[in-house]
Amino acid sequence: MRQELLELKDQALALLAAATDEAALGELRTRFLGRKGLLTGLLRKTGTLPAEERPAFGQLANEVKQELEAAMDQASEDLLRQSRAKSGKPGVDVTLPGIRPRRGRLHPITQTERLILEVFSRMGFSVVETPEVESDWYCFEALNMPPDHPARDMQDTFYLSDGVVLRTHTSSSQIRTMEKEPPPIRIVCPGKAFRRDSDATHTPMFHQVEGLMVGEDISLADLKGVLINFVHQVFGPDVPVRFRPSFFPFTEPSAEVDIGCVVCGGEGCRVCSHTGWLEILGSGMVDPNVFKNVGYDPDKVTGFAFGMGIERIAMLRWGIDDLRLFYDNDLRFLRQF
Amino acid sequence: MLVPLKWLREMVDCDLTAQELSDLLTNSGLEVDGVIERHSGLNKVITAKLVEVAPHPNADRLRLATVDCGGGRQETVVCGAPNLTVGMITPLAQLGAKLGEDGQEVSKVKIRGVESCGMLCSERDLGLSDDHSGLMVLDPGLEPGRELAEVLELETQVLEISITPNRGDALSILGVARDVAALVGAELKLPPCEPSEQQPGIEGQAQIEVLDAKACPRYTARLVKGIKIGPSPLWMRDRLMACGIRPISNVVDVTNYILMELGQPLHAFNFSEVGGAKIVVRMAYEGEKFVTLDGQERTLNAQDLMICDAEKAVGLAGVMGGLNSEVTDDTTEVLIESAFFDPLTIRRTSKRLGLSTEASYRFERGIDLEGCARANGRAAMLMDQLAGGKVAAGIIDVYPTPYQAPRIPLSISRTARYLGLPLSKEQVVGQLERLGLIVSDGPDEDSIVAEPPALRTDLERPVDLTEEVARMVGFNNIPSRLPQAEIGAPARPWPQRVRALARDAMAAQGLDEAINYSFEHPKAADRLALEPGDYRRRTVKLLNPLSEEQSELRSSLLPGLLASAARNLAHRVLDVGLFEIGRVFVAQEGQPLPEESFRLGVVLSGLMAPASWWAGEQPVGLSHVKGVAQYLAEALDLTGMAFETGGEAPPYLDPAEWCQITLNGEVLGELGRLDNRVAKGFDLDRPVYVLDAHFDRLADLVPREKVYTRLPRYPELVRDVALVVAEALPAGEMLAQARAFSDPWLQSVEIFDVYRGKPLDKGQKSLGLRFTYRAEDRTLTEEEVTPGYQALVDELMKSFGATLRA
Repeated sequence: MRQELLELKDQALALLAAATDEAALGELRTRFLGRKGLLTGLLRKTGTLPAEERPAFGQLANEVKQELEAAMDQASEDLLRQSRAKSGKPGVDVTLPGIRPRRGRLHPITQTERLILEVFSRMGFSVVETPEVESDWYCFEALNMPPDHPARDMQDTFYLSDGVVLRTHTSSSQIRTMEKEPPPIRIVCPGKAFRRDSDATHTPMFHQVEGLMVGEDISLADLKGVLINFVHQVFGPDVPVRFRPSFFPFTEPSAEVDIGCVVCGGEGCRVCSHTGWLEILGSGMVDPNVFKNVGYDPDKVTGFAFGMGIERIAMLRWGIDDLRLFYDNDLRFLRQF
Repeated sequence: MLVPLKWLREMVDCDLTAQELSDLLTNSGLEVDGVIERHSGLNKVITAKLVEVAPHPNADRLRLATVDCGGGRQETVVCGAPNLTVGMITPLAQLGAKLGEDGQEVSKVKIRGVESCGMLCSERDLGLSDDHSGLMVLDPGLEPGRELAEVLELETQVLEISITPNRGDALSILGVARDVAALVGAELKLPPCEPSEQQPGIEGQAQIEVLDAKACPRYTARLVKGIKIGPSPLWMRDRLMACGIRPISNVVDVTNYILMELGQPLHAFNFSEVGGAKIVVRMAYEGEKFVTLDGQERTLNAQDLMICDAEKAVGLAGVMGGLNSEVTDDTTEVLIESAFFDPLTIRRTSKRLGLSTEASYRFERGIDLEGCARANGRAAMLMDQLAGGKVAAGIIDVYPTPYQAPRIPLSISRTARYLGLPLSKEQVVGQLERLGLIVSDGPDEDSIVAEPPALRTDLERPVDLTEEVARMVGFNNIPSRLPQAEIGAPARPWPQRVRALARDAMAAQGLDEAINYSFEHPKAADRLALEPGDYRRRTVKLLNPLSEEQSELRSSLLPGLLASAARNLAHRVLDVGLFEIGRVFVAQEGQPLPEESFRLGVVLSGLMAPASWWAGEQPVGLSHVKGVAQYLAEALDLTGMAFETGGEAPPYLDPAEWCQITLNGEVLGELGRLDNRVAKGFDLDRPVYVLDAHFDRLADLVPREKVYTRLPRYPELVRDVALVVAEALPAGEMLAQARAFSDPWLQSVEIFDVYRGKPLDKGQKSLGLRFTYRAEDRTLTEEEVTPGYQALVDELMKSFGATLRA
């Protein structure tokens, strides 16, 4: 009888494997597990066994029953899955768009500013913000640009009254910080800047991040290290970086920093004026006169400063070719970022 | 500055290509913006020898010229020029040459039935001058078949260099050559400057008097007589044109040539117009009038430096000559001025008069004090060679205080530390000497003393020398390293953090961030219909705006946002949700700087979200803009934000749809629907909702710390009720009263439903309220809660005349 039981089980499992619809499955369930089913029939014959065999047989029969029940449940679920996979759920159209709230976008300038500040924050730079309207002292004079200095021609200035200007660069933040705090200094200063200039490549307002690091024995090599690190984090570790001597009144020596053109890979294209290089920031060692102006001793401390246009970085990052788009607030533009 | 390459190579021997030179100069501080290719039209133009002239069979005015093109090749060309002479050497544009500004290609054509294989050219055809009187006549000694551009030594490549304001010394071909020579270690070759003097001495013939030696530390003069004014030779005209200067006449061209070559501005006076044969250099009189070469009358002041003769002013020193002493076609005697004028004086005059010239540009940046006499000699020499002038012997040189070089000490070890570059004394000395500095030993082993030449007015301090060393080494050859400093991870200042959180919260609600100009139109306050005394009318005006619409600083974010919304609507982008967090500016009485504060502005129009299959179209309304404020409050953990409707609406908001935003009694701003007339003024023809809040004030109220509340241990019990009330009843009033109801277990009251329509009467609405009850110490039963719930419902029904919704 034990043999009979096991054969019954194998037979049931074999039929189950071949069942292809719910009806066949119901038929099998009745045939094997039903009140008048084969398994029940076999169980009824337990009484014919010798008394000492009955408990073992009973236990085995129970196990077989549980196993078959589980197998049938499983088969039933499999069949249901198969049928849903074939026909789907009525009333549910998975090709319809999902239900979701609309996502707004931060302005590309904000996003790029955050990227830049994050890189410098990781290097331990604090973020400092200072006024957009500045006195001549903070914007020019303390930065080694006395009145009548030809360097003032480099930046066309908006005046609000005698000696009050819209800052032409966020370099004014350098002075405000050094006047308040003793060295060492490690800051980046984001914000709006203004120059009296408006054409395809200039808007009268733009955004800058200025940076300053002052301490003992800060060198041009340190400047290079920090800025190369910055470029590699923003534009990728393989982008070439070039330092070119230049002139800013508040740094000496001064350097423009170029990166290999990210558009053509240095081959030469319209974006890089066929030079293979893109100018992305200005930098230099803080001029001793600037230190004197804020009461630092240029014999004791040295430092470097740098400044970059956020629009410029954003344009290179995303291939934007028209500066003016940043201030049109055209949603077709803003929603791309 | 434009630097023609052949000219440059005359002064420094180097076989670098234009591109290599560009890189070299760019990497050492003279940024080359590009290489201009000139005369590319002359690519296929060669010298040709006319061997035979025959009549044209079909045209009287044309002839058939057979030319020898060198290498035994001959071509026949149809030509109409009047000066065809057998044996002459003349330029031949071969087939394929592209001449003229439009680059028209010379091709094989039949002219009146005869084939022409090229074109014989006039100077105008070749773009060399305006002369079109006949074929260009070349040196008869030239062999045929040579490249014309090479034969004429034309400048075919020009470097375009941006010179920074500190490098006045590089504003000349010589200046650039000096850097090249120092960089490649080649010899610098100064052009010859010694005229042959064939006339009696200048002393006695002319007199110079400098009354202000500070404004004019040096004044030299030479006299050249017997001049014949005419055009200058082709090579000089070509070079001047390559530098962007229009050739005028031999004498004027020589002065411009030397300006470009040596960087010394010169002035040639028509000597016969110099009254008393005397030049007086003095400051102008206050209000003195003077007519400059450009025909403009200028009014001067006592800070302007004048060049005068015995009777009258003849030049505005260093800026522009006068109309009255100009060199003209019949000038025969010229007094050449080569002087050094004080940079600041020239700059002030040039700035004030808005008159910037090649001369003033160089004087402002400082020229070579030691080079004045040399440049004058070269000018006289060239006027002799090119204009037939006879140079008077000697030079008048008023130079009371000769150049005294500053002695600049430099520590080698400090320079090395400053640059982060190991340096030896020999290296530093070598580099400075190559740049023309005189270097001697300093007081100790580590230091040197360097004396720069007069032309390097930018070298005054040790750090200036450090820069020269860095430039010569090349910035790209300086090592790079990350600085050693104390580590620190400074926290973002609180206001910056709150602004970042707020921006994220606004974007999370589906609003896009706008950035508008800080400028505003002076009519903006009127457009918002602001009261006369409104603080936003205390605007800050620009003294030199670019345009009227950008002539003030904004005192509110709304005009900019509304204009942005209107621009989007104009593009048929109708669903607009924009926010901006930015500074506004309000003038402060008695303060030089305005008050700058951050504000938050929002503008909503169209649909809150794009129309969708699940939610349909939801046109924005007051509740949306209010929701924006509430979401922000939630994101910033601001509790207690309230919206008050009492009081008078601001004039730009619809008095029926607005409220004031307050927090703990402090007014933060307002929100509502834009008044219709105001909207029209901004070209907005659909409903627009706005929010304007004082962001700094709001940020101050953001709690900096949070304390956790223990989770409830027993479940809550929820009871709902629907009460029918008059339509006019503000839901908030019922909510407020319910929340104030005294019941120790009542945790919260919310409105979860507003229903209008059948079976309710018109003028009625049903408010669904949800009461949540909870006890701290046990699970509440229905029976326990019911008496309190019933009392609350009864009270609300009584207070508001409400009935239970069936």
